[in-house]
Amino acid sequence: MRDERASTGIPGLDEVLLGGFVRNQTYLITGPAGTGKTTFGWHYLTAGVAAGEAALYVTFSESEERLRANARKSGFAVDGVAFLDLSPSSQFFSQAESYDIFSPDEVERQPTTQHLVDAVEKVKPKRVFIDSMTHLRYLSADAFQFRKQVLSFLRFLTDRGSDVVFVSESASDAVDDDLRFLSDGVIELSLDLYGRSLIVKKYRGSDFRGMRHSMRLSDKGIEVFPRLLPETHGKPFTPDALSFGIDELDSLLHGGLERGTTTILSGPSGVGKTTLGLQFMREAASRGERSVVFSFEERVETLVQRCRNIGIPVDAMLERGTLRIVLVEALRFAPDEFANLVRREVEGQGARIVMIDSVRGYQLSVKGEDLISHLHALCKYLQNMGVTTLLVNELESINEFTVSELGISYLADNVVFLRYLERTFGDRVELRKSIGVLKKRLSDFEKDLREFSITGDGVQITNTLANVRGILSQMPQVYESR
Amino acid sequence: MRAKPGILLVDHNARNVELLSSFLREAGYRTEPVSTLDELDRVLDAIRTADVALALVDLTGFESSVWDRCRRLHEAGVAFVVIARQNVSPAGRDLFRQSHGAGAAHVLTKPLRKEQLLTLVRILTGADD
Repeated sequence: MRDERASTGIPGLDEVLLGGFVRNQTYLITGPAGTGKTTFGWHYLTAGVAAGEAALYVTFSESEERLRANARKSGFAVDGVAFLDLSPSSQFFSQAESYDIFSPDEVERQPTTQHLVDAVEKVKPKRVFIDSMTHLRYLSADAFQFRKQVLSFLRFLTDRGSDVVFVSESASDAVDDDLRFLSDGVIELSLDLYGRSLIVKKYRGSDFRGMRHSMRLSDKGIEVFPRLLPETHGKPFTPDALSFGIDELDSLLHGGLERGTTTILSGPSGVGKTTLGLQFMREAASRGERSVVFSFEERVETLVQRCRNIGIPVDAMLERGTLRIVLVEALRFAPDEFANLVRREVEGQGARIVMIDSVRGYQLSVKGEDLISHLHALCKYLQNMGVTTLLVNELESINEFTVSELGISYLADNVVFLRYLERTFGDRVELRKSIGVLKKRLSDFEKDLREFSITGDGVQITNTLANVRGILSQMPQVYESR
Repeated sequence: MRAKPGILLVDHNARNVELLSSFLREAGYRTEPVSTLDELDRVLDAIRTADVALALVDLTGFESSVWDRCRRLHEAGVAFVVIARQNVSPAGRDLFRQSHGAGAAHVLTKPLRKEQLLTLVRILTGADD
């Protein structure tokens, strides 16, 4: 039987903890200043109140008034949370409340303990949040006494049926290793050059997702974006070939792109990769399927206008919900957060086609982390969910034939390449575009190169090009006489 | 039961006086707190050893003339304990010489351990006989 869990109240975190906190246990939330420990507490306590549980906030640092005011600004329903405010009042400073005759552990430990006992007996909390346990360190004569006091305090709470989340302020000069040993679980919050993240370091009595997960801390609170584990997602589907709605292209692909496959649309700037993807989505819309473009580079209005210019009924598609264009600010989104955005579209809105435009833009959101592992997980997830994925890959090199300069070609089931083409008529040279297929895992395909163009009527593909030389160069050439 | 003797508490910090006084009263002692040298002078002018068996003098915050008052306590037959901040400087090492020179029965450094203080107070007041 699955043990009873308590929701953390933090979107995404319960998924990391495989259902939430195990009840009647003690959890340490640790991290430097500004990483969201207090906000974590508000999520946890207000989720309890919402579930009809008594919740107690014990503060040793900030005053109750200040904490409540800040939490209200973030939209937390703080009224049902009971408080034990053990923070120093302003009188401590102005009315010479400081002392040095005895050490704090001799003066304050006993009254502090009494306050805690009284509050717990009065509120009978199901959830307790202590901000922070580090304070008790100053009320202990030595490390041994501190350990004993914390253990005894935690036991006092759990013996009364409370779940406990407590905070420690970790820093290089104030390590909290002892508190890690004393708790049933440890969650580390951090902030570095790559953004905010969270990792579960210890979780007694349960499995959990152990890797680092991105998180966002905003004026709305915390949101955790669990690292995508493709193997935990799946949906039955048939790998039917999906048409582009252009006979010549479907012929090249022996029917189209199979459902649940990943296709790299590769080519230099301006050659028509995005337009080709939108043409695929136009055809999907005619079947009533929803497509989503995650645009890292182009504004939504620009893309919409481009569609209008070539006769794609973008307005109707947007209105019917068979198309959504999402502008993604690459530097704002961590890869886990972006994956979460994709999941919402797939699991929440039923998207069947996803286009990432472009891989280079997505790379920016990875911010120095491993592009391939993140993109691999995302593509595998989409594949497992039966979503057809288009990766727009812009090439910079003009000297050699490559599918991608980012090392992602192994991810693709299909590779469709677009190239500029030099067409020579006697002593005259024209610049044209060509399209070909380099790889297709689930079926055979035509090996010919065809001419590709974009007109006011949409994407046009002509018959096979003859007399082509240098296909494996960045710019093939056609020689023919007029 | 014999009443426990009185203890003169000399400390510039009001919170320290309050804490010391509260602690010693709980242990059954009468306390007379003073927090300025003028107050201490008035007490010394009228002191009777029958009323005050021990003085605890916290040097922190007082000028050097506090040593004159210490010598007066000694002359009046009142045992006294010097209390000072922990200090490893040459001046700090000089503290012990000065304290004993003024007739101090003992020197304690802050923060005090309550148990240790109580033991010392009992010994010096004869309350543990």
